[in-house]
Amino acid sequence: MKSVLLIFSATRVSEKALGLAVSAAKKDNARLVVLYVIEPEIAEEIFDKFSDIGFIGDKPSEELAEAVMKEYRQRAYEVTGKAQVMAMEEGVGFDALIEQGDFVEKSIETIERYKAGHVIVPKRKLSTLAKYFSRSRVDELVSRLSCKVEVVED
Amino acid sequence: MSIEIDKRPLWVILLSRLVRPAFFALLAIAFYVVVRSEPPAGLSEAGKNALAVFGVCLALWVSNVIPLAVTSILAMVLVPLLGVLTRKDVYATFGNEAVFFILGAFILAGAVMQSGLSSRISLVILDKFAATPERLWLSVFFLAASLSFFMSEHAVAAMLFPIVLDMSKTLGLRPGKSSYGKLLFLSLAWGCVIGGVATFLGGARVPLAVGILKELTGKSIDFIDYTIAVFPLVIALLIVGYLVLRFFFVSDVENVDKVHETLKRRIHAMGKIKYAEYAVGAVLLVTIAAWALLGKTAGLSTIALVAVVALFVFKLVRWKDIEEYVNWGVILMYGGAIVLGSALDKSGAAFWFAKYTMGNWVTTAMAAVVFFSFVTLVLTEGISNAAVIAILLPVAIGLSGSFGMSPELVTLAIAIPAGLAFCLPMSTPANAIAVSSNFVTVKDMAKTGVIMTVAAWVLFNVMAAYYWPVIGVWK
Amino acid sequence: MTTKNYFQNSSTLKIDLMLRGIRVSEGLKGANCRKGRAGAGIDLILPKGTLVNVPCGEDFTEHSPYELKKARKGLVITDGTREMKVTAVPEPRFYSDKTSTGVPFCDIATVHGSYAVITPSPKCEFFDSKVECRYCAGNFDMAGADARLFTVEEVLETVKAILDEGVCEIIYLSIGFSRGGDGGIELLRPYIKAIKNHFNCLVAVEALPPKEDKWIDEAYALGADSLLYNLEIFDSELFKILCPGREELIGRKRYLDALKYAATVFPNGTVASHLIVGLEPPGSTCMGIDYLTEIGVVPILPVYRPQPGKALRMGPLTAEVIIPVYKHLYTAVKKNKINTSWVRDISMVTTPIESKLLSGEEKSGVLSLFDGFYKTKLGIKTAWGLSTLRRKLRVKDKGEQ
Repeated sequence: MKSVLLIFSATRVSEKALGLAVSAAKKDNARLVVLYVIEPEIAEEIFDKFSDIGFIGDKPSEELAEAVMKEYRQRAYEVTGKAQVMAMEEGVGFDALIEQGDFVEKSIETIERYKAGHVIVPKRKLSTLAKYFSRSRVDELVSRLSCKVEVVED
Repeated sequence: MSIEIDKRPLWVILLSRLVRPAFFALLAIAFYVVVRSEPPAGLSEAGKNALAVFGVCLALWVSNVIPLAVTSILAMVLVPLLGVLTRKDVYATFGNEAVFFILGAFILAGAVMQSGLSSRISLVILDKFAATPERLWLSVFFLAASLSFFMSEHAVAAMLFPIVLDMSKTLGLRPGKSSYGKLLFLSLAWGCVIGGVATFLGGARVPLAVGILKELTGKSIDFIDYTIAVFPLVIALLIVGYLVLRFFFVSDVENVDKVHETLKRRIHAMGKIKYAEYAVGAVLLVTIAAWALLGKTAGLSTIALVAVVALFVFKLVRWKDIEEYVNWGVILMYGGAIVLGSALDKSGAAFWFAKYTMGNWVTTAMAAVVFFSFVTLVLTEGISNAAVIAILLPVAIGLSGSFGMSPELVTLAIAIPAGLAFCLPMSTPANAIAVSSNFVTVKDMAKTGVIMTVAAWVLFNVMAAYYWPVIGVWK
Repeated sequence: MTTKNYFQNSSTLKIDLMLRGIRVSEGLKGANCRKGRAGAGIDLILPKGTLVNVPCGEDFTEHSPYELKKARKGLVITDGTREMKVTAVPEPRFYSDKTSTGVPFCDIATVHGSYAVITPSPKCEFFDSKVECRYCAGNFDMAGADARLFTVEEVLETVKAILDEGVCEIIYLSIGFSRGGDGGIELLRPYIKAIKNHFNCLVAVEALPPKEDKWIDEAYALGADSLLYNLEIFDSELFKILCPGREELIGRKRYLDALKYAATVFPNGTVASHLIVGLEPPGSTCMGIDYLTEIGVVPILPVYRPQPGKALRMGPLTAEVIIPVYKHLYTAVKKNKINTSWVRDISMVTTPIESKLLSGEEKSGVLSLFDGFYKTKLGIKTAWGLSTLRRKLRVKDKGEQ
C-alpha cells in the first residue's frame, strides 16, 4: 500500500502540514505515517550549559535535561494522537512513530522502511538574512530525497 | 545501531576535523611569538608574558573549545612557568577567600534544593498569588528574581523550569503559538537574570569580581554595601521588564484556575514540611544575616564555610548529595581567573594595557563607568559572565589606578552589567532554557532583549551618576 | 589437436586455461591439484606474474589441449607444439597445521592468490528453503546446512597463521544467505571486529544484499575494506531461472540498489560483483559490465566451470568468444574511472588489471609502477593505512557522541 509520510519534530509541528498530509493520503488512497523525531541535542546542550558555564552540579543539570526530554516525548504523543484522530475522521489508515535521534537520518530511515512516495515536512519561515547564513535541516533532508517532497512553511 | 557515514568529499572532512587542532596550533604559535619577542616600551618582560597568557585565555574563553575551568588551569600553569609570579604566589592566590565563599554559597544552595525547600517555597508562592493570568506570570517573574537574591540564578532557573513547564501544559498552551507561553518563560529567564545581580549570592561573578579587587588592591566591597548599591537598578529593571513583556506579549489565556490544581498536586506530592527543610532554611537565614552583619569582621568566606560545616553537623545533607549538586569546576574557574588577574596587575601589564589602549579617552570616572558597562554588556551576550570579569576587570582596575579612580567603582561597573544578559540563548543558561521550551524563539528573545539591554545600560549609568555619589560609592 | 596460440599473452592464456582446464602428466599427479567444492584446480603463475587457478580434476579437463609437464628445471605447459615455463604455487605451509581445537587450517581458509577466503559457516538458507541456486560459485551446499560454525578464536588462529606465513595479505570473509535481513553482517560482526582488533590487514566481505542500506553502513563501520554482492547473472530472465532463491527472497533490483549504495560508502574500486562468463550470452555480460561500472562497481568475471549433471553453459564458449568481453571490461572500468588496484591477483578470475593486457594498451604487458606498488608489502600496508584513515574520517558513531 502507498504511504504518505508526515515528519514532525519539537520545532517542526504544523496543523497546515497535517491537514495537507491527511488530504493527500485520502486522495491517493494511501496510508498516513506520522513520524515525530525527538532530537536529544537540545537537552544535551542544556546539560552542558548549566554544567560547564553555570557550574551547576551534575544532578540538577541532568534532571533539567530529563525534564526537557520528557516534555518533548509527551508533546510527541499529543501531536501523533491528534494526527490519528484526524486520520480516523477522514477514514485514512494511520501509523505513528516516535523516534529519538538525528532528524535527517531518522526521516530517511523511515522513508526507506515505509517506501513512502510522498513526504510532507513543515519548516519554520526564516528571514532572508537567516536563510543566507544557515541551511536548515529540512533543506538537508530534501536534498537527500528522490521521492516527492512537500515543504510547508509555517 | 547509530552509525552514520559521512559522504562529503574527504578533503572537506579532513578540513573540518583540522579546525580544532589548527586553532590550537595557531594559538600556540602566536603565544610563542609573543613570549619570544622583546617587550614594548614601558612594559616589563613579566608584563609581556602576562599579556601573552591573558591573550591565550581570552581566545579560549571566548571560543569555549575547552571548558572554562580548564582554561583557568592553563593560566595557573603558564603564569609561574613564564616567571610572572612564583609558584607559591600562584597557589596562595588560588586559595582565595572569594573561591571559598563561592563554594560555600553553592553548597548552601545545593542543600536548599536537595531538601526541597526552594521548590516548596516556589509552589506555595505561586499558588497563593497567581489568581489571574497576569498575576501568574508576574508571580513567576518576581519569584525567580527573589529566589535569585538568595541562590544562584542558574539553580533557580533549573528548579523553576519544570514547574513552569507543568503550568504551561495544564493551561494547554501550544509551543510556538501561545503568547502567554512566551510570557511565562521569558519571565522566568529575565527574573533570574535581574535577581541574580542583586546580591553576592545570585551568581558567582560578583564574589569573583570582589575577589579580584581585593587581590589587586587590598580593597573590598561589603555584602550589604553591594546590595545597597545595586538595588535601585534591580527594582528599575524589574519594572522595565514588566512593561516590555506586557507590551510585546498579549496574554491569550483567560483563566488560570487549572494551574492551582497542578500546583496543589505538586505541593501535596511533597508531603508536609520536613525537619530538613526547616533546618536548612534556618541555616540559610542565619548565614545571610551573618554575612550582612558580620561580613566585614569575620569574613564572608569564613561564615560560608561555617554554614557548610553546620549542615553536616546537624546531618541535614550527605556528602554524596552535595557532590551531585555542586560543580567543583567552579573552584578551578574562579581560582584561576583570580590568579590571572593578579598576574596582570603585579606585572604591570594591566596598567600598561589600559594606558595604551584606552588611557587617552577614558580619563574620567564617569567615562570609565560608561565605557566599561557598555563593553561588559556587549561581551556578556557572547561569553560566560565569569570570563568577562576575568578579562575586563584587571585591565579596568589598572586604568583606575593611573587616574586616581576608585577601583570599587570600576569593579561595580563591570560586575553588575556582566550579569545582565537578555538577548541570546547562549548568553546565560536561564535564556537557553527559555528557548528550549519552544515557546520562546530566538527572535522573540533578541527583539525584546535588545530593549532590555539598552534600558539596563541607560539605567545603570543614571544610577551610577546620581545615586552612587549619594551613598558614597564615588570617592 | 591444434589450438589457437594464446601463449603470446598471459591474460589470453589464462582465459583459455580456465575454459579448458589442463591435464596433469603422470609424474605430477596429486601435486597441489586440490579438489573440493570450490578452489578445485591447480594454482600456476604464468609469465608477467599472472596467477591462474586451472581446473584439473573435472571431467571436461580430460579433453584439454593443455598439459602440465615437468621440465628440466621447473614446470611447463604445452599444447603439443608450444611450451611455456610456469611455476606452480606451492601449497601454503599452514594448510598442514591445525587450530588449537583440532580443526585443520585448510578447512577454514583457502588461498586464492592475494586473498584467503574464510567461510565461517558453509550454511546457506537457500538450501534450507529448497530454492538453492542452480549453480553455486561459493563454498555452500547441502552439507553446509549441518556443518558447524567455526568459532572466532579458530578463525583468528587461521588468520594469524596466514599472515605469519605471509602467503597473502587480504582476508576474504564469505557468508551465505540468511533470512535475518541484515545480509549476514550480524553473523560476520564478531569475526570482522576480532580480525581488525588483532591484525593490521585488509578485510573483504562477500555477503548478500541486506534489506536495508544501514547494514551496508554497518559493514563499513565494522571494518570491511571491500564488499561484494555477487549478482552473477545480469539478464533478468536467466537470473530468475538459475537463481530462484535469490530472485524470490532478495530480488535482482535489490542487488543492484545495494551495490549502487555500497559504491557511495566504500572507497572507489572496493565494491565488486561477479558476473559469470558462460552462464548468459556475452552481450548480456557486457551490458552487466556497463551497468555495474556506471554505478561505481568493479565487475569480476569468473569463467563458468561446468559441474557434473548440470548443463548450464551458454555455448559455444571459447576464448575467442569471451576475450572481447574481458576487453570490454577494461574499457568500461577505465571509462568510469574505477580504481583497479584492489581487485587483483585472484587466481579464479581475470581481473580488470589483467584485462589491460588484452586491450593492447600495455604492449609490453608490463604493469605500471602504480599497479605494481600495491603488490608490494609496503603497498599493502599503505592501502591498509589509507583505508583505516578513511574509515576514521567517514564513520560517525552516534552512540558514542
